[in-house]
Amino acid sequence: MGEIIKLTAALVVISMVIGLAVAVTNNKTKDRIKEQQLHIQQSAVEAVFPSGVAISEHEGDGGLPYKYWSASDNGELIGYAFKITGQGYAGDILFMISADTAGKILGMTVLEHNETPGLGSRVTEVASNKYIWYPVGSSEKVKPWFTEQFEGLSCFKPIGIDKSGEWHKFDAQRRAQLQSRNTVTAITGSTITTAAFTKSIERKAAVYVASLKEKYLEK
Amino acid sequence: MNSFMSIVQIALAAVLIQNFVLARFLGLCPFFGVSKKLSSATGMGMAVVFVMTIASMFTWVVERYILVPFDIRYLEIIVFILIIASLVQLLELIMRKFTPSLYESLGIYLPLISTNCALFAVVIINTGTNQFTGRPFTFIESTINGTASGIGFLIALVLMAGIREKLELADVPKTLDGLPIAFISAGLMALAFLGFSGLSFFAASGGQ
Amino acid sequence: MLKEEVKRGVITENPILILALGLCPSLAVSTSVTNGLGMGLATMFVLVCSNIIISIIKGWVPDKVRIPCFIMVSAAFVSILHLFIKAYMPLLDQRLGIFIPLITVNCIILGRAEAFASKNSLSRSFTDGIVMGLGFTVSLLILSAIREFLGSNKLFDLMVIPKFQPLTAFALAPGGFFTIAFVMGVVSFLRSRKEARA
Repeated sequence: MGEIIKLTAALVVISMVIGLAVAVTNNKTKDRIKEQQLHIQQSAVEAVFPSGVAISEHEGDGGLPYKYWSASDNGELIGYAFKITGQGYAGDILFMISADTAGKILGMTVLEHNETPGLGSRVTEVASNKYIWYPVGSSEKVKPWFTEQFEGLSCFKPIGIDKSGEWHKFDAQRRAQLQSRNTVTAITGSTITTAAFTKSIERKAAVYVASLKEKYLEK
Repeated sequence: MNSFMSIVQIALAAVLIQNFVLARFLGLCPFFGVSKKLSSATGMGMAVVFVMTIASMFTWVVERYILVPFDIRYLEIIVFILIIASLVQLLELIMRKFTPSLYESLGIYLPLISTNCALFAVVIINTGTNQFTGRPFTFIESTINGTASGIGFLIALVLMAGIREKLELADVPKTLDGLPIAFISAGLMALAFLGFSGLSFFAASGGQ
Repeated sequence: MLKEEVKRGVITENPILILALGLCPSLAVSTSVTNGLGMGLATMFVLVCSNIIISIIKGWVPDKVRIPCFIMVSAAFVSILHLFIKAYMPLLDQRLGIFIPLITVNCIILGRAEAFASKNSLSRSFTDGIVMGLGFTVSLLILSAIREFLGSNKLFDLMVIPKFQPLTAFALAPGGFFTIAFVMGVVSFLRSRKEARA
């Protein structure tokens, strides 16, 4: 009997000490973790709008996204941003998209995905020519090419997929041609991933933009 | 219908598409340690399916009704590891007492399971969001996820044991003998399992 | 003395390549050198801390409940580390994901606690944590450098050779198995040659 008490006492003391240690750490880091999560969200919102605009956050109901952001420049409404998901190759892809009142896409950024490394995961690839041999180059922020090619397309019309090559290798003329056909290029070998974006823009973003537009026209 | 679809998707993903061993690299120690003989591989695999299912149920209840309401999710890691360790002990006792025949075939693998990272991984995955619905796992979903992940492990383990029994007779270069050749076989199996990625019964209705 | 200890951790008793411990994280996160380095250092931190605490409490913990106590100590350090990573390095948290909590069940941690820290003095356990962590990190760096270069023609997320078409399979699961098989093969070749000479 004495032994059981001894064993239990040892376990209880240890679990109390480590529980306390973790609780103290949690107290110290709690605010900072929340701040970081907000910061990640904030920088995603900033990434999809042109720089220097005033952004405000809203909570939507009914047919609206449950959280969305609107941006205005000198009091004039520029557009809205919200998060949507599309079904990719391996689970859902969560991305933020912004569009103006006419449905023209202003910007896009991928927040979460589980796509295959080296294939579908290239949705966040930056087409940089930075080589390890010259790491000190220009430190300007380059957008991932895959999401950049959606800018200027209309979410009210079906977005086509072109498989003849990748956008970042095209010159200005071919890019303009694609834009006039409301078409994006697929990532080589990852058409399903590409379609996840075009489909969910067609099905979800278009609906949201339309209902947001209605709401703001009422005012 | 929607919840049924999500269950089928979870099961399909856990067994084939994102197989615990061959696509996610979880549970590799028992995968290489217990795959020398087909009979022990089957026993170990069955024990894992069993414990994973029960652990998924228990941890889901603890997470939902204790950790979340009291806002102590930061203790998740410690609590789960304790639950798993005591659950395995408890199962061993219960099995020995009530189902001695089952204990004889699976019992010796139980102590090996408490430090199996696949088991810990599945309960951690169950605390996240279900990638198919975008919401937290429900009780049914997390139970299915546990069972299906265990079945994925069982399949990989049994296939591997079959290969390794044949490898015994093969003439392997001396430097690759033992673990390296087992890794190469596992790599070839993983290559085959890559073929399952993108598989979906509901592709037509995807993106809703 | 120190040189010998480092040699023991990195070469003669290398945790991944010789002892085959901690295989799951080493294969799962070795897709890029940055991930490998992050994982290696995180594991080293937990290993050193748990070795220190275990060598302090070793005389005091009853033998029968020793393993549960060791597991709880390492789980506590993993929780603390996870909170710090979330607070100060959220990007690393996103990249390593579930593999940070999984450090708890990494066989290296419990293996060293049971085989070394529970039998040796504080200073020796501390050194053991450092050199074993170093060995783990070095082997992760080797594996991830091979995989990142062949699989995506990059190192530290930067391009390496212009116009080289990467072999994507190396970034995927099969490549992980092939890479570790190859590296282990080379190690066992070098060992057998050394033995033949001696």
